[in-house]
Amino acid sequence: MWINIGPQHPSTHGLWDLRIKVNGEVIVDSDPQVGYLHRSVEKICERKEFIMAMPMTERLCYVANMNWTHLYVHAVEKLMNVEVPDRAKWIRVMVCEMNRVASHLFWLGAFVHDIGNLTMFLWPIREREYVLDLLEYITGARMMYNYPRIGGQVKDVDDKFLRRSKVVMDMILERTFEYEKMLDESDMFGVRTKGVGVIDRAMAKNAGLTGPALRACGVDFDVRKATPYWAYGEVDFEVPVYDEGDCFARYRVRLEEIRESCKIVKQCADRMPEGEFIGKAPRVAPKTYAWVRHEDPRGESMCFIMGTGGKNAYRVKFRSPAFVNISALPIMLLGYKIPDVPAVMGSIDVCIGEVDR
Amino acid sequence: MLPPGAPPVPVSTLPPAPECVELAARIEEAFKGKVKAAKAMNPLNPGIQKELNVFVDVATDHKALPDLWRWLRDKEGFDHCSLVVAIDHMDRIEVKHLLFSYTSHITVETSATLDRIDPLMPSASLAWRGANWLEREQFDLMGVKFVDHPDLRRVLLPDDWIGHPLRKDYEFRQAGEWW
Amino acid sequence: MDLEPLARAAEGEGVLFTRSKELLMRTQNLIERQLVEAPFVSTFVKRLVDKSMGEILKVGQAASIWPLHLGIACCAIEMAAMGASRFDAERLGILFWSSPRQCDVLFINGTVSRKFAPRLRMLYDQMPEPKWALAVGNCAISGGPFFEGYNTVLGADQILPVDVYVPGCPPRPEAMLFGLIKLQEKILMQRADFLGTGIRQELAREAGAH
Repeated sequence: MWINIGPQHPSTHGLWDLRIKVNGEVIVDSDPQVGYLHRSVEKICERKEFIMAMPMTERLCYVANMNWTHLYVHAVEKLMNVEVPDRAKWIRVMVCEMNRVASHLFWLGAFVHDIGNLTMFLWPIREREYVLDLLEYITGARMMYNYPRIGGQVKDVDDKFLRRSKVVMDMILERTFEYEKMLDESDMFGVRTKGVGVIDRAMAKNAGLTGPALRACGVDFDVRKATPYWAYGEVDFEVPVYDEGDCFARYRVRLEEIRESCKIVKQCADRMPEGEFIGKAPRVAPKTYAWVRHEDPRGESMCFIMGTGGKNAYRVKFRSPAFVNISALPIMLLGYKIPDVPAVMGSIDVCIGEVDR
Repeated sequence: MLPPGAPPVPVSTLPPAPECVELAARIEEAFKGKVKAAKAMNPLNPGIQKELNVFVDVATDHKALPDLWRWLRDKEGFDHCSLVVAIDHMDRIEVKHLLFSYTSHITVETSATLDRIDPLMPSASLAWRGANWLEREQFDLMGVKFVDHPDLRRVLLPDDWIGHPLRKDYEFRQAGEWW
Repeated sequence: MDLEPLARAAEGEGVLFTRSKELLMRTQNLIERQLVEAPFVSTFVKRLVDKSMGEILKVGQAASIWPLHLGIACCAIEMAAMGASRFDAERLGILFWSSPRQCDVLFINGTVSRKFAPRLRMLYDQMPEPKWALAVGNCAISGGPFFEGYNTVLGADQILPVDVYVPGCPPRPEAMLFGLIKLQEKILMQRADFLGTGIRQELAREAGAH
């Protein structure tokens, strides 16, 4: 019997439909249906100039805006072979990591809300508000920042922002220990997530799983370490890797990533170089193609862009990590029961804007 | 050719990395005559992203592709299919598969040229399950039919949608629609 | 599932007025039935009960709005932030509830795509009267930044009648709370109506109380 979970369901974060085939309570097959939010972003980006298409990319993954806008701008810069000044590179690392912290905090709130722990919905969102305050200080907006430009950033950061960000990151670092205490010592959380949604290493690599879900299976792959970009080669951080491959391991990886990102932001605030924050960039792009890959909070995201020789792009393609992670979901759900579905769905960290584009 | 006033395509002055050159040589040797070209790419600007790229062009002869993919996966350790993108040039459709190796961090880009009216090509989802949904998406939006794909149906658009929107001759709002 | 409005929309007819036509016919039947069923109660008493209990009922409706747990796109994140720690929406009586059969308000917070439009209409139809709809964000008002898309419905009011529009991309949580307060004012502005609840309020709203 096929059951539809979604597209309106409190635990489908976003608008997607998980059709599961059940035999009693046990899941024997599943078929995720996405596309309820397909907004034809790739086609619209072909009609607009490069910088005009950037707000489109912001609305792709709306929880991790900075990562996606910077991904697109990075691809355009690679296409045009534009050199970005040092200060802009460090600013980019800083804001992308801050957005990673905000994204993981929101994920944590939504995930444990599904498991049943409503206090842990309020605590991370409260922390996330402080990070959004910081980003509002430099960009002026809470969510759709519109911050990068081709060649750098639109506005500079000042010392007040650097000081405040260190304070906020210290506070978040302390509070992650509170979250850990609340969740690790909770039997209910452990029973619902340990051993649930297990995927093994070889299958995870073959299925295209990337990001925290892959690192929870024991594969030490992080784009920031493998093919570093901007200032990631100079910043000191570790990549958490766990072996079990279940929901609990994915939660642990993301929690430790919040801590590592806090450390990265503090290092950036200390080591921010002086100089220009935007470089010169042409308005037209050559008739060739380029791609870049980034480490998104959800996995490995890529932007493939092909220029026409004019002001528009000819073809823009975004590889969304959540799209491929959802396609690996049937493997994770096989043999588990219906009540395990919200835990597994939540632990993959889906942001439907980027899945459906 | 380039339209008048267009900027020139940037040419790199840096040599390609030795492991890329060796991989390209191994591909040439293993698939002699079946692939049109295998080339290690010069890194364009190391300040942008440190990366190692190899470009393999198969052109219109797709018979070598499944063997090439399986060889890359088993012998060379390319475990990860990163990206499948179909580009609609007005006279042909070009499909690129980007494959990545977790151990050597090299990206291999295989490029196939397809006929625009009836685009058929073999599917990489038999070698990598990750390519399954990526190829479904290119079928949905561009119309590329992947032969022996296990489950080729639309993924992003409704099942009864007519047409493939990302083609260059697809109008945004078809005549008669107002919403 | 009522796809007739969509079919009519495809032919070019307006969708907004179909609900009032069907409601008009249903209400006329109901009014006639009520006058026939309660012959021993005088009109004066009925009007008195209507007004007094109706006011209490309106305050009750406005003070405990239960929206549907539906998050479509980016504006849903701001809506979640509105319901969380800093901008506490629960102090206004808002409780997000998963089942459409027991909800009052439908927040349309995001771009409505053509794949989702029939499901959205189905959700709205499943909600019992009295119900209201709030279009949050530019995408729900008119298609927003995606108005050029081939898969975008140009505004949620192509599909269902919207009561309050909250502009923004995304609107700040404070703006959404302001929109909710406007909705509360709209609820309180209705004709106080206890005995013919639901249908009469619907009719009043659509006939011109707004």
